[in-house]
Amino acid sequence: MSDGSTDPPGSRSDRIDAEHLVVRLGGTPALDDCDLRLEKGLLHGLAGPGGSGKTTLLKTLATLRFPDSGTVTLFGVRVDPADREGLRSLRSRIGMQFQNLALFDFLDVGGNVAFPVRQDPNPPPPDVVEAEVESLLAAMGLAGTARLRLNEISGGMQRRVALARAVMGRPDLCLLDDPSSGLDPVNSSRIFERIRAIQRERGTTMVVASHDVDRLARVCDRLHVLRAGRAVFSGTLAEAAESADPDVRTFFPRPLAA
Amino acid sequence: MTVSFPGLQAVARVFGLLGETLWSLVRRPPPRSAVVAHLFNTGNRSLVFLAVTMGFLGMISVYQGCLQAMKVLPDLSNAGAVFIMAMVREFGPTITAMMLATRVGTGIAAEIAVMTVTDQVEALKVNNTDPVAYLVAPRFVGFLVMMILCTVYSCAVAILAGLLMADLRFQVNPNTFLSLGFTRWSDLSVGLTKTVAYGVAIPILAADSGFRAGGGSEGVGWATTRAVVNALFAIIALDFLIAGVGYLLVRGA
Repeated sequence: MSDGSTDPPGSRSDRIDAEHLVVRLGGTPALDDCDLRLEKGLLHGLAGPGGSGKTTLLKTLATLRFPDSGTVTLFGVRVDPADREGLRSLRSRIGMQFQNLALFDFLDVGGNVAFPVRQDPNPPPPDVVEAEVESLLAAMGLAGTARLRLNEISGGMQRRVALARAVMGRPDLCLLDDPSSGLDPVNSSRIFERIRAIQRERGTTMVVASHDVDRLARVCDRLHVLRAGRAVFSGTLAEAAESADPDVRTFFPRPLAA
Repeated sequence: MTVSFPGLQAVARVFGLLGETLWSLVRRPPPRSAVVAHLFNTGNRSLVFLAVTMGFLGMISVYQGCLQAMKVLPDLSNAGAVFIMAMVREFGPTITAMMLATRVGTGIAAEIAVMTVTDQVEALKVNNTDPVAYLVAPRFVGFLVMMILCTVYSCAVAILAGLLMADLRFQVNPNTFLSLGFTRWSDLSVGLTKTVAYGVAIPILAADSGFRAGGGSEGVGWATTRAVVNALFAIIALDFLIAGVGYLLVRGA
């Protein structure tokens, strides 16, 4: 498998896309003929009403769900559920923050953040990992919390721990599911700013699903809108404001003239 | 036309999980610290529970056995020999397995079920960690080793309790009671085979129930219930199967 980070933009190995995806959950289609193309190194926002398939799409891109029909291509490689080695190789390049965080309650804060790196067959030396964990926690405003248990920190702090874990392994594709859910406006803005800063610094391809569309629109390079399991819009904020689709305009209205 | 056999699918799924667990043990043994933690949780934390259960079982069995025997033949010289043979071949492994299935098997199912319904299992996968190798393999090794040791311990406790009852209530000489006259190698091997079979089945069935959990706290409750019901059913079925095969193989020995 080629390393997408060394290939020129637009090459085959950059490709991250989903074509004609159909994913059924309990017989009901959560994704229904969904097409999505992600450009490398950009921050993509994913919006849509509740139940439109955002989480299912992220989990499908993370190779945690497999489509009933259609294809997913990551870094130029078509996802094959039967190819375990191929999946392992793809997953080593993906980081994900789950909607309900999915932090490991048997580990402390530092253990959770370090987890993606420690599971590597050839992990870096422990002192290097610890230094990176401390640095990442400090960047998230969580300095000095590495030894705390999860029940000793607030929900907002746990959300930042989950974000730190998602970006810890320096993944090529980072999928964030509702990173500001349950946060107050100040912390919500901060978390979007941190996401933007990390994405710019590392050049990671990021997909952020959120209901907080105002803040999402402020930081994203591309926006995608899902409706009933189908992508009905992909483009920039300016294009969204001019969209013929009333739902897209509702999500991303034209800014009021000053 | 598609024909579905849910029972066969379940059996295939459980054997698939067993195969994955064994393969993960061969490919990359679990960290020693994880195995030690599960050895402690399965064995050390069950000692009092097993001692109380098996102690009372030993005393009740000897009391009832001797009481009934006295009605037929007022000679209890073989009571201990029969009791020890039954304990080694049948009751020791089976009762210990039932106790560990309720205390430890439900714990395994609940832990994995909570991780499943809170997406922690999916978080393991996306972090390139095989949930079977990470969660099931250390629990499997811990349970299997401790199942064998706990069975030996349970038999010893039950025999000691039975000896006290026989001595104090029926005045049977302890040396006479501790007779291995009826216990053959075949009894020992049947007992050991059952112990190993239970030690393999219980953690795998518990893990399978945990992985299939869904729907929040209610799903966790169902997973634990399913784990204990499946384990008890498996224990009875394996007991019958191994006892039958054992009698066929050593018939006349």
